[in-house]
Amino acid sequence: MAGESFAAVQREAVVAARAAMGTRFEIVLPLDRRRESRDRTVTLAEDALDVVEELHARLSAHDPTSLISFLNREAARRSVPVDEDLFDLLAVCDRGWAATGGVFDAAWSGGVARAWERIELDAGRGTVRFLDDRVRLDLGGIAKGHALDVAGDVLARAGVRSAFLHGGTSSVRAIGGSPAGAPWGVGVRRGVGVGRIWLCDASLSVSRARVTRMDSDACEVGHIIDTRTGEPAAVAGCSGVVCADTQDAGAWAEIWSTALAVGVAEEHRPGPGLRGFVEMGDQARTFGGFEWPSHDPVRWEVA
Amino acid sequence: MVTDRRGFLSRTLVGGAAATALLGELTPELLAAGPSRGADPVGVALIGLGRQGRAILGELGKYESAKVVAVCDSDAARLESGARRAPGAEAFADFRAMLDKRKDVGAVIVATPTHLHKDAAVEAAGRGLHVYCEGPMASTLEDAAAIAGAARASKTVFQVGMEGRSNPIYKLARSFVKADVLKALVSARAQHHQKTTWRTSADDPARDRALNWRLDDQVSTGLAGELGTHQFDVVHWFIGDYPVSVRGRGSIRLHDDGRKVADTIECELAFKSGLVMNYRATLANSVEGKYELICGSSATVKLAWTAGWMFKEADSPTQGWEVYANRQQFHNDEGITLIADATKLAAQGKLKEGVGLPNSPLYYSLGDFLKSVSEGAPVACGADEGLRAAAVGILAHQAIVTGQERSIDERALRGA
Repeated sequence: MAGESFAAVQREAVVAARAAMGTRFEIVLPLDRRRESRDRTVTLAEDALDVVEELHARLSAHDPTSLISFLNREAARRSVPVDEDLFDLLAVCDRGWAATGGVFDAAWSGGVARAWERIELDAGRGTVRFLDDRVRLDLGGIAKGHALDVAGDVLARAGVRSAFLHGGTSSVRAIGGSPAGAPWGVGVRRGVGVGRIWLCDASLSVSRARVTRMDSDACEVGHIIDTRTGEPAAVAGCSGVVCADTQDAGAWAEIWSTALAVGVAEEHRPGPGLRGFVEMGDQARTFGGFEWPSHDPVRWEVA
Repeated sequence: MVTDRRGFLSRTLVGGAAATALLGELTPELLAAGPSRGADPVGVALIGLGRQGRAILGELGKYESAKVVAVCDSDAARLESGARRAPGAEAFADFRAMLDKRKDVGAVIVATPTHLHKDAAVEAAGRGLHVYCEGPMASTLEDAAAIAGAARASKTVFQVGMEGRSNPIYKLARSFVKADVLKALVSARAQHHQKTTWRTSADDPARDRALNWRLDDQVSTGLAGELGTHQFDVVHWFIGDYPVSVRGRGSIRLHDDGRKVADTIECELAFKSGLVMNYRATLANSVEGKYELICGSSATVKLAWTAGWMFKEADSPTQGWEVYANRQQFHNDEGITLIADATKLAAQGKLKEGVGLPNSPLYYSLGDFLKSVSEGAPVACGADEGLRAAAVGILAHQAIVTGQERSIDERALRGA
């Protein structure tokens, strides 16, 4: 934390954390001494983290007991009914796939491109079916953003007006601004040093298509699959997308940051309400009116 | 109806023959959960849409043999959010009204707070419906006896959600115990460590009391009852015996928020044979999570709900199947991983892929219930067994609260 010691933060806020989705989710809830006891604030934070944990149990493709893992085993054999919450999330994945020209793809099928086209969502029956038994769902490109959407909504419904949530530091949601009255500040590692993004009632997702060397083949591969080819992305892009506080803001921020880090065709661009930056090699650009701030209204900052 | 300890112990040992006959091998037949495909789905009503109720909906949705037609919760917010997890189900705030209206309900799942199980379970059983009652079955000996009585009077299936008894890994491990692989029983130990508050936020005092019932010392059986019961039952089932006394203590180690229910407990359950089981549970620390450990002079089994291991003593004879067994190192001890369908996976070179259960323990417990309902399969944990499990948990909690050792006699195990 810059501009404020962590001990000081702990006196003025509840900081709660939970391991989920292969990373650490953290919630900073400023104390409002006029209204709430510390115990109640702790309970609110834990309620939100309970939701994240429940989503992990439902959505993780790495947990064999999850609903997604069950679909991956069953949906090629039959149409599987799913509940409204899961169907709605898959519908967001479907819209994300269309909006990004298929670059964002919540499915994969062992090197075959455009796996999402092999997923059938039946809204009338509320079912999911795989048209190819090689297809698997993997919501890793949207799950953290979605979890912050749901967790943040729990806090908002409880009357929370200021909160900072993040999942693995790459997915962030800011409810209101910081107690100092300024937006919440997030440090983002860029090609040239660290930039700061200031958030108020918005979600942020930062994606970096890392290129790592695989010893066995001595070839470079990235950790994000380029669904146009079905292979790991060969470009080392970095993107950050801010989405204003609307329904599924965190999910959409993550959809676009993932897609932009790999590279999106010119005709597919983030829509209104989305702003951010893309850095691809030595090329850098911004969109949606995003600007790197030239000064720091520092009081509260999470690096 | 079981009338004496020797009677029900002999029934416990003989029962589950299919699970115990296959030593060292958990076949697809044992691993397969739920009724055979093709059976008409049974109409299910769920009462209680808290966290466990929602988990039940998630697992039930995996079964083609069940269709949730109605859900019920007296809390409006939980009813609304829970109904989204049950597509096509009708929502009710009152379970009697639900059962009056929905004649397509064949089975009822009771997932209310423990102290509210009795009314729903007795009502459903009295109407001739199959019942799955979450565990622990009750929070008082009187309620447990009433539920068990209603179950006996009914001719339908009554299963208590003691999930260990349906767990494929646990069934495999139990087969080793029954085959005397462990030899002399030395000790038993179990723990449930999970850092959490057990508290949820509520916007008014009445709702706060209703939602945070586990922290209400007037109705809650604390960690020993709510958590320990499941794990005590695993040991009961494995060794075919029940403790004769329990003592313990509890305190608040972290959650000093005015609660009176201890967030950390430890208790000692003594068996007539001299065996002692040590149990610890806390909401203040998560290290090593939840497991049971049954130690014998020749081998030990460690069971962690979605995984299990056997540790052999150096002088223990080697079984043939151990040759291709997957192993995991725990500091100075090497554990043989208990894997479902190990032979087939080993032949395919996929042994490591079989580590861990492919489905949650709750999934298998519900599967056994549906199998009993649809095919008449033996009930995994009937009401009398559920009563005994609940009694031990209730008495353990009483021992912790009072600081006095409690006797567990046959009257107590009958709910008297």
